[in-house]
Amino acid sequence: MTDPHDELEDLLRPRPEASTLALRGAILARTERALARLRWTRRAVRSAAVAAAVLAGAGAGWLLKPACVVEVAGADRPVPVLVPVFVGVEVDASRPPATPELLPSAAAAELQAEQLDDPAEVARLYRTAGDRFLDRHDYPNATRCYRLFLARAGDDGLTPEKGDSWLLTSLKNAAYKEKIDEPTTRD
Amino acid sequence: MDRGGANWTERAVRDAVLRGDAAAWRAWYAEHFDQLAAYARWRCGGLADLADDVTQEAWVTAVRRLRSFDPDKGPFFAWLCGIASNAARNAIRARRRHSARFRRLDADAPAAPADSAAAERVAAALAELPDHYEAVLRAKYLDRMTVAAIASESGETPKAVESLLSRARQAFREAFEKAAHD
Repeated sequence: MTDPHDELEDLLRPRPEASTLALRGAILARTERALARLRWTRRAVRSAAVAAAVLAGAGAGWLLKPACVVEVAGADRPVPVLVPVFVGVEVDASRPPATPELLPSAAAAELQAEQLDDPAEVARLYRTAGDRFLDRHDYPNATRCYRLFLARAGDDGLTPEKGDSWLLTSLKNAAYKEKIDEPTTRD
Repeated sequence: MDRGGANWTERAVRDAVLRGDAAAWRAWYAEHFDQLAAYARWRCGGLADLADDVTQEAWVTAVRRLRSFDPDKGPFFAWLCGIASNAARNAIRARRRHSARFRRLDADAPAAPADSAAAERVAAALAELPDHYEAVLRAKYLDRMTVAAIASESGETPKAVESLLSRARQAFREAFEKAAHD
């Protein structure tokens, strides 16, 4: 096992064991404290990591949150906007500005017809007055004006026209029959 | 390194300690304390105060670095001895620097006892040796192993171990001599 002539034996032999009881207890207590500290540090780091992850998530959610948009019903539909458009028009300064021809009321047309002498114009005004009275559902005055129109218009007024009202058409038919039947009656 | 069941046992104990099992740590500590204390005393040439410091430093460092202990790379005690070896090297160098400073300041003070001076030189010489020389000297002088046993454990031939031991002794002698002049 050992060489009796080994000069290093005296220097390197195992040293006698000293009493290590106190040292053993002291080191054990210190290592246990260190282990407890490591456990708490690990838990704290883990908790901090979880908290940081939660905060990071919340922060990212807050930052990436879409801006509040107020929905307006029908906002996607085009809204018509009136835009004034100016168009250059050459105006003959020598002519008076044209005024729109206003349709005369029934009474005015009838009054105008009584004041004129031109039979054609008088017939046209009575017909206009008849149309106005018919529009107001004034059937007696409408019939009266239409009969004055037929009296002034002569035979040409008996010809049915496209713009005739139902009452005028009916009166034309009646006048036409009356005209045809007239010789027979005379006979 | 495949150490079979010991490997798994040490891994289980390590994991239990890391989970906070105080009983596992106490059992591990009790199993290795005497052996590590003996190694520290041997590394410190028998200087009790230095050995106590080294032992304490080794255990505290082991606790702090326990997560880095890998049973696949070697047994727990070998890992502990590596930590203790570094602690001893640092401690003896610091002690010798301190001693040299105070010798210069107080040249008339009585010299340290011869045993203490020799122990310090032993510790300094061991601290200067490469790890494989220190390991074979430890197996031979501290663990009292025969050359054949060392060869069997290390997987070398007895002749190779004899040769290594011879070179380690020579290196120790030189370091021991050198330590006398530092």
